[in-house]
Parts: sequence; C-alpha cells; structure tokens
Amino acid sequence: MKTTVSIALGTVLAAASCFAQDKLVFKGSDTLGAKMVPQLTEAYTAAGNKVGFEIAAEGSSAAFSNLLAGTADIGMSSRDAKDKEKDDFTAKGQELVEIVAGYDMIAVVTNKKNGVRDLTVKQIEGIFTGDITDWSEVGGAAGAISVYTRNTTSGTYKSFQGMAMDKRDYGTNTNKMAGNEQIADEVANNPNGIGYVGLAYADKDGLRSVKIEGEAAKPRNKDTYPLSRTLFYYTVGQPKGEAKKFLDWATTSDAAAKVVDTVGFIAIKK
Amino acid sequence: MATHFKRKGKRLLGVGRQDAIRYFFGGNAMVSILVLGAICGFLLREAVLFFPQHQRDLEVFRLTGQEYANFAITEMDEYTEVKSLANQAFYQEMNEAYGIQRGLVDSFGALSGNIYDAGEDLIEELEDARDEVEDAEAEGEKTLAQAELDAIQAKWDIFLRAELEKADRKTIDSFGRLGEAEWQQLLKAMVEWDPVEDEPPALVAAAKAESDEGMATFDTARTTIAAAGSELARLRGELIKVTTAIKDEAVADKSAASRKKAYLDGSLVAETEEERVELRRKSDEITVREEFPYAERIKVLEGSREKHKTAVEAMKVDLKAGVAALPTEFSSPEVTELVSRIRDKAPVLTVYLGESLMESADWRYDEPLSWVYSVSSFFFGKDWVTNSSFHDFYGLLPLFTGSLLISVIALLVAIPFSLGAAIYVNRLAGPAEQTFIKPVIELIGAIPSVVLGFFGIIVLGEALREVSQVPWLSWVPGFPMQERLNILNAGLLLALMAVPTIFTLCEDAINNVPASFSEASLALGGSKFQTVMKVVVPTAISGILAAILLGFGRVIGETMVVLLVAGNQIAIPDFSLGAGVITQPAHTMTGIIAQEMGEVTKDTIHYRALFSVGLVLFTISLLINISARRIIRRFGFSA
Repeated sequence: MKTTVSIALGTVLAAASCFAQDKLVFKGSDTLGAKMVPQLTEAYTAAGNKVGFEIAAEGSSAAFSNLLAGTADIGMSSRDAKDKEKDDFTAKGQELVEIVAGYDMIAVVTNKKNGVRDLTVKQIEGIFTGDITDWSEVGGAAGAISVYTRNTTSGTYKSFQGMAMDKRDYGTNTNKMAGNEQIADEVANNPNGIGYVGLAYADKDGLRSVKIEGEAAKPRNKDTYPLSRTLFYYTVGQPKGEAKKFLDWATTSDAAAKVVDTVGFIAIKK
Repeated sequence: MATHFKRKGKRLLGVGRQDAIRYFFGGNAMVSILVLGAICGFLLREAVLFFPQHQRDLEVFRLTGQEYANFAITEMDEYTEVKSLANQAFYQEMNEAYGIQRGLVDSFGALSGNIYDAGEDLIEELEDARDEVEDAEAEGEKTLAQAELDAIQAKWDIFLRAELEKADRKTIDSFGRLGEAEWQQLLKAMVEWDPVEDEPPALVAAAKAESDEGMATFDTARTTIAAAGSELARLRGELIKVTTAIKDEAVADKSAASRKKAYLDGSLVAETEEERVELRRKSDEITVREEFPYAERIKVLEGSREKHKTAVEAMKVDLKAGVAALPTEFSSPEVTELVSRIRDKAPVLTVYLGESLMESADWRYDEPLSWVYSVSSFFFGKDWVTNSSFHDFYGLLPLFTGSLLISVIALLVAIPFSLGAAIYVNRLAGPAEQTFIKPVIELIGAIPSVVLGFFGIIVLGEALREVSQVPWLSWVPGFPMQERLNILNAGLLLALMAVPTIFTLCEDAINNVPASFSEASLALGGSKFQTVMKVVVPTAISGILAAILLGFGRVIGETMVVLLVAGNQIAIPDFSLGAGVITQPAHTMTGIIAQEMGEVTKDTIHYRALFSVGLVLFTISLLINISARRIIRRFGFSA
C-alpha cells in the first residue's frame, strides 16, 4: 500500500514538474516549422535548457493571426509581414518585431523523367499563372503541365508570387498542397509535374531542381539565384525571458548554425 | 371528515426524487437543444453579416478602378489560350520535323551541363592555369605555367573521356530523338569540346542552323501571335499596379483612426522622453479622413480607355496576321489538330475582344451596386481566389461543383454495393453468413477518415494511375490519368465510408417488411428472387431512399478525406472531357473551410465568407435530413 502511494505521488510530482516548466509556443510557417525549428529546439534542449516547446506549422499567415490573438509566443514566417498585418498590431498598440532566422532558396522542381532542365523567370511566371499550359511550350515533350503549389496560408506561396510571378495571381488550374513534403511527393510521382519547395526538400529521389536562367539552386549561388529569400521569427514587442534566450541562441550560436545548415537552409553568417 | 392527501416521500424545495430524475433528464435534452440553437444562431449571424461586407468590398472593387483593370485581365486570359496553342503547335512541329537536329542540340546542352557540374573544380583549375600562362611575363615563368597547363589539360582530357564513356543515352536524350549512330557521332564530336570557351561542336551548330531555317515561317507566324498581346499585357500590368495602389491606400485609411489613437495612447504612457516624442510624431503623421477621395484618385485612369482601345485593336490585327501566316502542312495529325483549333478560336476571340471593349467603354466607377449582385456573385461566382495581391473573389460555384461531383461519384459506387449487400444479408444469405457479413461491413465505419485519406494518397492514387495507363484501357474517357489526387480517388474513398451507413439503414428497412408479405408471395408460387425483387424491395423503398439520402448527407459533409485526396484545385472541373471530368482534381466546400480557417482573423470578410460556405453546407445537410424523414413518414406502409 505504502509503495503504491509513494509511486503514485512520485509520478504526480514528476508530471507536475513537467508542467511547471516554461513553454514556448511556435506557430506559423511550414518551411521553418516542419524540420528546422523542431531540430533547433531538440538541440537547444540537448544543450541543457529546460524549456518545453510546442510547434504548430500551419503556414506563415497563421503566425500573424496567432500572434495577434495572443496564442503564440514566437511566430515563424517565410515571408515579410504585410503592411495590413503590421497595421493590425499597431491598431492594438503592439509592436511586431522581426528577427532574421536564416536564408532559404526556393527550388523549382520537376520530375526526373522530364527533359526540361532550364527555365527563365518569365517561363516560370507563365507556368504558375496558367498562361503556359503545355510542356511543349517550354521545350519539352507534349503533355499538360500539372502545377503543384502551396495553399494560401503558406508564406512560401506569397514569397514565390512576389519573386517569380511578378505579383500576379496563381492560375486556377494549380493544385494546392498542404506542405513542402506533399509537393515533393506529387512531383516525384507525376512525370508532367512541376512545383516549388524549400531547398531542404529538393533532394528527394525522383526530383530535379531546374536551373533558373543558368543558376542552379545550390547554397553557393545564394547571391545570384533569383529565388532566394529570408526566413523570419516574429514576436510581439522585443523578446523577453525564455523567448529571448532561445532566439539569441538560434540566431548567433555555432551549434544552431550547424543545425540550420544540416537541415538544408543557409545560416546567418557572423 | 376530510382527509388531507399528503405527498409521499422526502421533498427538497417541493421537488421529490421522481421529479428530480425527470427534471434532470429533461434538462439534458434542453441543453442539447440550446447548444444546437446557439451553434445555428452563431453560424447564421456570421454568414448573414457576410453579405453586406461583401457588397462594400465589391463597391470598393469598383470605386478603386480594379473592376476596370479586370477587363484587361480577362481579355488577356482568353488571348493566352490561343497563344499557348500556337506555342505548343510550333514546338511539337519542330520536334517532329527536326527531331534529330533538336535531339543533338538538346543532348549537347544536357551532356555539357552534366559534365560541367561534375568537373567544376577541374574546369576552374584549367581556367586559372590558362590565365597564368597569359599573365606570365618572364621566360622561366612562362615555361613553368605552360607545363602546369599541359598537366591540367591532360587531366581534363582523361576526365572528359571518362564522362563521355559513362554517359547514358537514355538519361541525356530523355525524349529519345537520337538513334545509336547519331549518339555516337555526338560523343565523338564532344571529345573536342572545350569547357572554358563553351562553344558547341560543329555538328551541333549545323543541326541548330538547319532546324532554325526549316521552321522560319512557322516561327514568324508564332512570334506574331505571341507579340499580339504585348501591348495589352503592359496595359494590364499598369492598371493592376495603379488600382492596387489606390486600394491599398483606401484599406490603410480604414484603420487610420485606430492607429492614430494607439500611437497617441502609447505616447501618453511612454517611459522615456524620446519614446514619447517618437510616438507623438508617428501619431501626427497619420491623417484621418472622413471619406476616401475616390473621385480624385480615379483620375489616374484617365486616358486608359484610349490605350485599351488601341491595345485591343493592335491585338486583333496581329492575331489576324499571325493566324493567316501559319503554314498549312504539318508532320503529324496532333499538330494539324492544334492548328485547326487555333484557326477556330481566333475569330471567336476577336468577337469576344470587341464585346469586352464595348463593356469597358460603358464602365463607370461610381455606378451603384445592389445587394442582389453581392448575393448572386457569391452563390454563382466562378472564382474563389483568396490572399490575392489584386482582389479576393468569393465565388461558391467551383467548391459546390467539386463537392457535388465527389458526392455523386461516391453514391453511384456505394449504392449498388450497399443495397446489394443489404438484400443479400437480410433475405438470401444463410445464418452463418448473416452473422459474419453484417458486423464486418459495419466495422468499415470504424476506420477513422484521416486513415482512409492517408490510404488514398499512398495506395489508391498510385494504383489508379497505374491502371489508367494500361494501353488497352485508353478508350475510357479521362484515361490515362494525369493526377493521382482527383475526384475519382476521393469519390471511391467516400463510397467506402458511405457503405456502412447506407447498408445498415437499408438492411433495417428490408428487415421491417413484414414476414406476411414475403410468405404470401412465396405461397402464390413466386421464387425467392422474385419475392425479393418484386415484393420486398419495393415495399422497403422508402427506407432505402432515406438511407441513400443520409449517405449523401454523410458524404457531402466529409472533410478530412477530401482535403487530403481531392487534389485541391479551386476551379470548376473541365466538363469538355465529358465523363472524363472525374479524373480532374477539385476542391470542396468542406475542404476549403479546413484549409483556410487557420489564417483568417476574426470578423474579416474572408472569415465571414468561410462561415457562409459553412451555412450552405449546414442547409444542405438540414434539407437532406428533413426530406429523409418526410419520405419515411409519407411512403411508409402499414402492415
């Protein structure tokens, strides 16, 4: 009887201590939140820091709506905050603070069986806006182009629109997938597919990253590749306490930079 | 002597135990009804508030001139179809008529690209060595540098030969245009290739010249057609930029008052003097206007009617010239078909352009908008575009058709299976089979829908695509399938989910047919099969219909499966393929709510639009349930 009670008490105390830990809630981008931030948080915990993490990767737009509603501590975003989103914060008397998390390149991927290897930015704009509907128009074999994009919650969706499509809207014939991995999967299985993914997902079997005007999507081309972008963390007001500790570690320490590079993004060079 | 009747039992505040039990259960029922009422009320409020907001949004769309820009956008979209066909025809013709030449050019490009990537460092060394030799001045230096260069050049030659040995014809010439002989010719020519100069060998250059010369007439026709849209495209870009700038200003204006106040409040509680000054300055920067000066801003569009007219006229002229210049003889029936489509579409396009131009000439920015337009453009709008840099369109039609098509396919597949199973289990099966089949089918209902969705992506999608690519099935409309996430995939999975529901209810309905009916039929000499098909099923038809309706209600409200498996293309599926439309991807009402709910802020138009879609779904389910009940009551029989 006594042993059972003491064991039960012990478990309850242990559980309680877990809950007594500080928790950081991350919400936002799938590009950041699917691989990079989870691995960063693991490395952070392994380095001896006692903080709990909760990461929900629903798309960059979710970062701003959650920060505004107060349901997230740190927002992850693969795009700049829109002016309207910044205005929403100002109207509440709050300040949206932007911290650079790293750099990424958006790789445009096609199926390995597709003969097309090189595209210009104009052709990419044509394909994703629906102006160009057949592979034969860009030098490939005849076949309707299957375009896979992210959906409207994604920051990559917006960034790509600004960088490669001259801010025009996506065509109505595009298929909206929930994350990078899904796009990679569909393109790898569809010989007529094309899509865009973050650099970290472009190495899947069966995928080829097309060269954009001669530039390959490799980290050494960071400055010349047309579709490079910055990844951000956002907080409401300057970060404090546990959030500040983590963000400082994630943006300045060597261990964090190593994790970022392993995942496939480009760390901030000091 | 009067006897007072006393109530038996203990009472607390006048309520006895029996009464307490009654009130408790009654209260439970009340709570459920109240919660349902609250949900309905909330849904209704948000959805109904959508329409005035939508009307205001459409008014702003008109006032900022974006509606005018939309004319140019739709005209360009129609034109682009013709341009696209011209490009397709050109490239296909080029690949047919000059296949070998294009094969040589493309294979050279691929091969040289691969070798370049593989030997990058070596090529850099080679380049550096060559520069060294050039820069060297002293005699001794020169000989040294030259020796270096020779060594690296030798290394390069060995590397190049090794790479050319390794080169696989099937990977490099992925379109299979070169025969073995040509491939060997190319490899031989490439031995001389210099990576630093990066000039194509004579063989390749000659091939390119040949194909360019041969396609010259087609190329001029094609470029004329392609150039027909350049002026209108420029105008479109300009109009979009200008009108979006007006809209952004108008939107910022709406929050100006609250922002100004926020800065002012912030400055009052500021801690340092410079913070206070800064916030005060920001607050003063914002001007709050009573009304946004649309009349003034719209003046930017002055003169665009003229530009629009000239652009459209130029397009018509170039289009006519380009189509007339198209060659008449082609190497393959596909190209001939494409070109005849161009010849058919061009005059239709010209007529459309004329009509659109007239409509845009009549457009006024201050024409009032009725609420009927707001409602009809939601229910019958063909575009659902959100998070757009230009304008968000909230049109239900693509989502509604997607939901409807998927549900219809699901029912068409589910009804024969579940009805047949119900008839068999209830009337024709032996007792052992009965006790086995019924629970197993009902077990299907225990599979979580997200697991089914996962199964659909990984297993069913791939399997369907493999099956569709079998050559002797190519007569089936829509085969071979391009997408593996499409209406058919979602329909089949939803059929699987609907089967337990429909089966259980059908089985119950058939069970409720009194034994006397079937006994009478058998007594009159009917066979078992005749009894079942001609007596039992028609009697149970009301229950069966109700079961089908409830299955439909279940299927149209399913979210997880369609979100994962339907392909998520927000467009009305292409009905020109006939029955093959089911191999197209589509989006659904339930899917769009699940997909976009995460990003909407409360009380924005997008938020309310999603609730309106939810209201449509709720209404459909409600109507289905009511009609199911009605049918049972009306056509039910009495024994």
